[in-house]
Amino acid sequence: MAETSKRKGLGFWASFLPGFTWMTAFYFVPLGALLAYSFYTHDRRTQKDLPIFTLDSFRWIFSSPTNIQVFLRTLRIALTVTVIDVVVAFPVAYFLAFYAGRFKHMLLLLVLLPLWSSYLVRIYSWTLILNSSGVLNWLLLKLGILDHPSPDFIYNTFAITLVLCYAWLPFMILPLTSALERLPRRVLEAAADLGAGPVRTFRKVVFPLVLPGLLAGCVSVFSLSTGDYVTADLVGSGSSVVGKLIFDRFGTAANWPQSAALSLCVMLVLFIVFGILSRFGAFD
Amino acid sequence: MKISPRLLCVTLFAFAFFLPTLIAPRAAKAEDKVLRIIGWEGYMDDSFTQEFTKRTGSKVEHTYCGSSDEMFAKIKAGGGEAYDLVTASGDLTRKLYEAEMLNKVDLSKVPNYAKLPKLFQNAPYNTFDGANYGVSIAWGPDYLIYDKAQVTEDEVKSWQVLFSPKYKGKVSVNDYQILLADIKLWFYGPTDIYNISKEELNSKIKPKLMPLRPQIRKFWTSQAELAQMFENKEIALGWGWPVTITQLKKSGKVDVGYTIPKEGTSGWSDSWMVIKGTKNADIAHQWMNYMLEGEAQKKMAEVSGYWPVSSLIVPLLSDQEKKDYHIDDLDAFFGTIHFWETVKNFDEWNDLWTEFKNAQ
Repeated sequence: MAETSKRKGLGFWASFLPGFTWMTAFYFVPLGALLAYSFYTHDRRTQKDLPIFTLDSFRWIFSSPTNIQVFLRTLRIALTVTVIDVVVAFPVAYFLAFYAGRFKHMLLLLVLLPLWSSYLVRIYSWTLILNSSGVLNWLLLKLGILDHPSPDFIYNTFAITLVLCYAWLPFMILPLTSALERLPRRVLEAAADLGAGPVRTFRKVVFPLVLPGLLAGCVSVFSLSTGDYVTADLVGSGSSVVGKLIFDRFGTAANWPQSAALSLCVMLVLFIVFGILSRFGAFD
Repeated sequence: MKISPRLLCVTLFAFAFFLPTLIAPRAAKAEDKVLRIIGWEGYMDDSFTQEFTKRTGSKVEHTYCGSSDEMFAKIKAGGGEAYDLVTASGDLTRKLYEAEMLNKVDLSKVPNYAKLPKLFQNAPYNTFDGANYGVSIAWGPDYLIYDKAQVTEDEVKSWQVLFSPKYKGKVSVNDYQILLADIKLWFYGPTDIYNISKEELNSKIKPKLMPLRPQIRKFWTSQAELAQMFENKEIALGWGWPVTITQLKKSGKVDVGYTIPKEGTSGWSDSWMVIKGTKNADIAHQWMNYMLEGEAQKKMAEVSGYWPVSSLIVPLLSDQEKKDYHIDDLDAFFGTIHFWETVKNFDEWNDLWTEFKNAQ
């Protein structure tokens, strides 16, 4: 009896420790370092970060209107991207789940295919499409919609939003598709039998049942959009998003405490958003 | 014993607080006979590093950076464990010195130093408190580059063309706060342009700077990006370096001109500097000496488009090249360029620059 429980104990430790060590070394420790750095003092003359407790970095964040403005811009972009991706992904997922039939697996593969290429390459290819002598302008000129190339497709917030929508779309389609697949057909039939029209069925039956899948997609897309800065760097005009701000404080300003404090604020915002979403079952 | 959650939190936090000092970044240890250089693209090209490897048996490993700040950040993180040498421009040299990240240069191991024109010996941008901390590599101006198909030669007589309504959304400048000094130069003349206090930044520089924001299509972050924007006709005017012009001439897709407008311009003068804590100081000195040889300087100048410093290159140059590199009128021309210096209140410059970038 005692031997069995001991063996069980060994088994527990053997499965628990590697994972725990991994998480500690590559997750908890860096996170702790991040937390700690945000309270370090940055010495302006020697550019060193000293382990002396201060709240200066947080004070700097909230005293600068530019920082607040960048935070709001980032959240606005992330929210727009999430909403657009929901609208675009829903019909696609619906089609995949109910009508694609034997093509379903192939079509799902096509949705995933872009993820196999480098993220940077995909953004660069968008610059080729959107720039003043790019594919889009060429097409619109040929079709006679424009009479001279428009510079408004790239190096602005529109371009950032568009590219992010494209980049994160698979992360919305996949959880939605699997949520729709799990939807029992008999429930839909029951709704029809009881006289509900398509709109009412969707509102009262389909939507509540796929909500967790939808929210899971939203969590992915929203957090990926909030953290991204490469897209803003390549197709934006130079106005920052939070990720770029963090990068600049880390690189340009060599001020790690401010950079760490900014990262913490982003994490805090995301935690709050996730907290709200989890109430609606995003993580079920 | 029951541990209260509060005590646990405090202990964990205290532990976490001092953790980074315990596990400060340690890059991989230097291997024998590898010289690790961090810096600008063009200063570590195979065309001249191979000859060095052949002669000394030391390989050259390079880390390219897009800005002085990136170099600083990387040296701050890696130090002498990760890099032996840096190619520092004048805006970075004093910063590295004050952050105590440099070793002195032993000039007895760099005999070619004597072949530098007087101007480049004990130069103010790499000599601090009477000691030599660097050896010059190359120099050059920040040009006003323009697309000849869109802009006439008359228009670029002054930097004010960047503010012209005609070129709204047709301008690109480097994403670098040192440009605040250029703003001071363009509007208030060449006095003390790298010395701008916070009050002056707000009262004098900001009002002149902000109208530039709608003119800017995109801030360039690598010289290749600037070249690409000229080729795609995204922009008509750019603030840039000779290396972009060299690249555009090679590709031939767009006909660009370049000029130094009447207000004058800023410029840079780069130095090799030895990073504190390096174990390869000897190889580093051999490299600095080698890079002052005529052949190495010539190849470096051809690859980068930057202007050479060593007098050993002179016999190898054509008359046109001597003119291009301002070899004959060196003293006079050098005096017209306002070379980058390390900015003291860099954080304040940075704040205004961030505000400027985000003003739209």
